Amino acid sequence: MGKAIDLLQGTLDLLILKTLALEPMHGWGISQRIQQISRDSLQVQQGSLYPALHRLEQQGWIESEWGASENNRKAKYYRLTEAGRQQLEVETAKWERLSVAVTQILQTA
Amino acid sequence: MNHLRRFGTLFRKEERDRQLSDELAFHLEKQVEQNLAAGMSAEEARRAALRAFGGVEQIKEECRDTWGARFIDALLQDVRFGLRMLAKNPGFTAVAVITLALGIGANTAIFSVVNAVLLKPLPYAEPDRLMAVGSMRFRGVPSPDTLSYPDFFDYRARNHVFEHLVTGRGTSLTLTGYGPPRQLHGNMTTWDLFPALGIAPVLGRGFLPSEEAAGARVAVLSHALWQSQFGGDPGIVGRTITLDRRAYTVVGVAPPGFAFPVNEPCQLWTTIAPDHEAVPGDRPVAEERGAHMLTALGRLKPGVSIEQARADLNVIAAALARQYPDTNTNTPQAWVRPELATLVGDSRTPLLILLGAVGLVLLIACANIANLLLARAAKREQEMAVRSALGAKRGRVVRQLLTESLLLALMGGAAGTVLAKYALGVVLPLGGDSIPRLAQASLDGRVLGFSLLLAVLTSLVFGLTPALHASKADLLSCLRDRSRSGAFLNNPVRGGLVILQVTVGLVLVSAAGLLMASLIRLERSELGFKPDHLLTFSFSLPDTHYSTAQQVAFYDQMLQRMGALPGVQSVGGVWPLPLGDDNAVITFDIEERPAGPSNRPSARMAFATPDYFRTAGIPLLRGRYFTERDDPKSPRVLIVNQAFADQFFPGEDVIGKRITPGATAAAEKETLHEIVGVVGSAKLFALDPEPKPIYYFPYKQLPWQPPQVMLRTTVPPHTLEASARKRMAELDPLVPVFDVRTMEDLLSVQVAAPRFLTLLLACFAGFALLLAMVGLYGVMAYSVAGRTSEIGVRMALGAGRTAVLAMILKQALALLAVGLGLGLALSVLAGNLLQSVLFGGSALDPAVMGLSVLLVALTGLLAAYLPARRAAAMDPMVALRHE
Repeated sequence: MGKAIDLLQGTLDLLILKTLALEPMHGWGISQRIQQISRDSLQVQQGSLYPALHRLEQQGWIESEWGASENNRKAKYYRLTEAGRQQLEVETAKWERLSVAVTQILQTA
Repeated sequence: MNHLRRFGTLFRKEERDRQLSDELAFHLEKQVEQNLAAGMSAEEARRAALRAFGGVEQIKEECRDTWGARFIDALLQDVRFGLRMLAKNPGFTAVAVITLALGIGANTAIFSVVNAVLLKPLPYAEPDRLMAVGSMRFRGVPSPDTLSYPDFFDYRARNHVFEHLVTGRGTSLTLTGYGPPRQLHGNMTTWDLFPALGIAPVLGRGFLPSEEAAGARVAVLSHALWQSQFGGDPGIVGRTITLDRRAYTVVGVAPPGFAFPVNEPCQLWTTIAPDHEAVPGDRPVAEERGAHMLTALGRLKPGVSIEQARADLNVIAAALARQYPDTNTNTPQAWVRPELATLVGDSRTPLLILLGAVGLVLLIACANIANLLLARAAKREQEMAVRSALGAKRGRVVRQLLTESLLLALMGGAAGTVLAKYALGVVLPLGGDSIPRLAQASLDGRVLGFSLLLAVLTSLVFGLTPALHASKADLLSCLRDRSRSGAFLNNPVRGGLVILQVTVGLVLVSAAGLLMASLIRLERSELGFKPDHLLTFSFSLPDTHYSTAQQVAFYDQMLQRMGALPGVQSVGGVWPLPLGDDNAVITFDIEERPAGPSNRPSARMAFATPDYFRTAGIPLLRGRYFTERDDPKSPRVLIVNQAFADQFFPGEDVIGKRITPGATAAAEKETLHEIVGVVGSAKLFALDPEPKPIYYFPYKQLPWQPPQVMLRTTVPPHTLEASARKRMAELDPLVPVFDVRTMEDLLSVQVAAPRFLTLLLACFAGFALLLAMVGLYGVMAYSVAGRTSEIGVRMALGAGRTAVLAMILKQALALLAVGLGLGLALSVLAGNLLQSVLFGGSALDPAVMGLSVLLVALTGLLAAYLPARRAAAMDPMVALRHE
């Protein structure tokens, strides 16, 4: 059970970083984009996004700024930092290696 | 910009919470909008949104968790990293920790002393309401003076500001009947001593008002005396003991640790009853309004201020001056000062000087460590630059360096506190009794707190500079400019630190120099007599068993017997003993220039046996010494010292002049005394800049009490103590001999305080110089290392070794020069501060200043020369290849 949660956390982090790599966004926007990109196949409690966002901010991979949203309401925008960009590449590489390995194992079996 | 905003929210939890709520609320609103747009009703839209979101409160809690955990995690990470870095450089870490330990340890030790002596309140109830009271003498310069008994009684009766006003004086009583006779040190006080101090006896009671009256003989024992002499007997209250061969009733026992006066080890307290009693032929001293000897202690009534007390007492003093013009014209005012300040007043300046000095030592230590850290940060600069470029936040880098500094400081602080404990053990005995309450200095909570505060402050002081500097590291310029480190000597921060060290070092060295010169002057100053080979002691003969005539006869016999002891060259008696604790100033009337009672001159008086002057080594300048024929039946005579002749009969021949002293033997009127001799001026107190006027009576003509005995010996004086005691016991076994001390011991005690101060300051100056030297050496060595290739180039181009040496030393000399200049200016300022503790001499002593500058300059040159020499000795080929 613990393992599954860790995996999910790591995946979620990656997705958030990837999303923000394109452009700065607020939490709602990230949530929408993830649903879009994963074509609704990833069912994540929307709320669980926020602890992840806050954790990533503490770690220094992303930073936040309050700004005006599309309809002029106050929203908290997140942006990838330099370190975050690095981390994204590192994690992406790790993920790809993992998926290649898993695929190979599945193919040989 | 963004950092600053975040920094603000960091510390306001409500703000963060509010922002979190806003953020989640925004999300929910958007989801609700989307749901509405998809056709749901308001009700459904809301519910669906919440369901999709999850538990809002739980989410909020999880978000909050990430904040706290991250912070502590990061902190722990910093600490671990910091420890690793310190362990990787054991040399640096050791040097830094030791330097800090010395600096913080010294500060902690001195602060302990300051705390115990100056800051700790007196060990009585509500001690800030306790005031010392005396009279203010207005003759020439207003100066504080003591009170007489009648004046005290009037103050006590007429004041409106004190709950209690008490007074007392020291006394020495012989206890007999419990083993060998034992001399006890005690205090005679007015009845309400214990209520005034707010202390209750642990057994029995204090005194009653009636017990002040003549004839009462009651005593309260100290706890220690009760235990040691009376075995802690619970039945002691009500028992009679024999003191000075009179029966005293024990009425109480004081609580353990009770002391009054605070720095005197009193073993018992009794009342002033004896002072109300007439000595045969004389008035009781409690009726002598002109006999000033007392300081009073008062407890202010609640809500009364010290100014109100002063005003009230001044009214009384003025009234007394009008009522008794003969005795009180010169004291028309009173003084009131907090008791604690009065007690420790003299120690305040020296202790604050020490505290300042030791603070400067710490400053130098911090400068050293800052330089070391800067040097190390420079080495790690490339690493730092890369990290910064890769995204490590500047705040994080700064925090990491500060954590390292804090770790260093805490380690230094811990080591320093341990060091302080040992240092106190060594240093306190040196101070001895010279500073009140010194013995109570210890490492208590307040001191430990101070130590911790110091550690944190010092870590900020030396950690901030390199941290801020390093965090600005620019990767590009760093990688580009290889020889950048060579510029470090030109770096204003490092240069500034070295200048600071040299400046402070010079100030401390010159301060120590001034104190040492002062101490030498003090110890060499002419005492006016020869203090070597002198053994002194005192004894008392109770009035009940010895009439005055018998006292004198006893004393004669004693002198003969002591004189016959092998090893004794001569014997004399005098009161007060030079370098002892006693002193008496009494007015006199000059026959040629009579004056009214309130205008008469006064001087120190003494009474002595004929052989005293020879025994003490005081030369006869004119006239004659006393002889055995100067007794009650012959004309009254006096001997004066040169200082007396110079002050009261300047330019005249004083032999044959007559004066009427205020001091008389019992049952005699004041009468004319003829001056028959002038002797050399001897000091009574070692710290007097010059001997004061004294006039001496022959003991037989003023037999107030047995004078203190002085034996001039041919052998080491303390070896005769046993024989002296034996001789005394042969004359009367119930007469104890006490206060047996050599004159040199007494001198030591009197110079103990200046010696203590000078020794400590010299130590601190030594530390400071050593640290400054190490600092300069380090900076120079580092600079040379950084300029290796430059040196190689120069040498290859033909520069000789001397030229290279000169080039490197030039910069060091510049720093030294600036430091010395600033230091000299500050030393002059510091010298003025020291003036009050210097014994004679000027605070601007050019010899001391000159020597100090020379010392610091030479030390600095040496420190700079060593690495410079190494640089000049380099092989140019090796240097060129060095990167």
